[in-house]
Amino acid sequence: MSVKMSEQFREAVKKAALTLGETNPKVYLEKPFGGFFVSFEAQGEVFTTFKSLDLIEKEGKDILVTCESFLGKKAS
Amino acid sequence: MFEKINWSEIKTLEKKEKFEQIIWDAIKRIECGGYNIGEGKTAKVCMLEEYPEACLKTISEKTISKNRSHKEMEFLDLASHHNLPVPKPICSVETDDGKDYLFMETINGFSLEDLVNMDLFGDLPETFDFKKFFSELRVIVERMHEQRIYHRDLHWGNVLVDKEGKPIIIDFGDATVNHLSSEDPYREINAKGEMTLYQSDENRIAQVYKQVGTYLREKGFFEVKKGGDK
Repeated sequence: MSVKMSEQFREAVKKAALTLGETNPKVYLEKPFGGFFVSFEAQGEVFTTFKSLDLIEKEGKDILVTCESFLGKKAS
Repeated sequence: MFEKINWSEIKTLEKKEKFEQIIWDAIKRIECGGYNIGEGKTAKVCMLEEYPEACLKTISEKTISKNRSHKEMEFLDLASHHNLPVPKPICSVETDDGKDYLFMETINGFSLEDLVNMDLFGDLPETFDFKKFFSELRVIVERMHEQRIYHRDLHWGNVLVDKEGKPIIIDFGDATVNHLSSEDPYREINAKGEMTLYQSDENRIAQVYKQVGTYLREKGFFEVKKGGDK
């Protein structure tokens, strides 16, 4: 089995990571990746992690991606 | 073709098996509890009611289309990167037994084929403008070709009307990238020397324009002016 995440997923992680901060420690990705969130500290089972420098071209902590749902945000 | 993810920069904290298990669980959930939102000759698309953001395209082993799912996802990625209206791809899976899966964004809308065959005239958005729709569709195809992407299967089942009345293009299973301007993207010779000819994207759109125009005329669309010409 071979699995590939999309470039759009990486872009969504990057966009969310740019808004991470002390007052914003957990940021959900935009649709259709709404079941994933990024954070600097582990907040559940980590799906993947990105090197900060590789993703947002800035030294810093690794960016952790957590998957609550692979199928996006649950309908309310 | 375009910048791909450098997977060496992504490190999965958990084991590879765990990563795959999350994806496999999502596939099984949709296969067991999902409902069909679209079906073609080569694939079907299903989603779960409680998770409307994403859907799963399953390409069956026996009727596999030209591009396997990783390749199809590359086209969706490339098109999305150029802001072309296609479903955003999430993840592609290719199994050893030849069954392929593609997770992608769910589009809130319906195909032009369903519009006519299922008589969904009443479901067209108020903002739907027939001439503008096809004018936009032609521009989208021109922009795709500027990026050297050729869809090659632009029948009316692969053009959706979204909730705002805008066109969305789906199914890049037969798409190709034309690397040389001297190449004919609609002519392909396989390893056995067999040639496949495709209808051009422009010709396909012209056919769809006629089909949908006839249907809308019968429905009185142009008389009642629901955004169309009088």
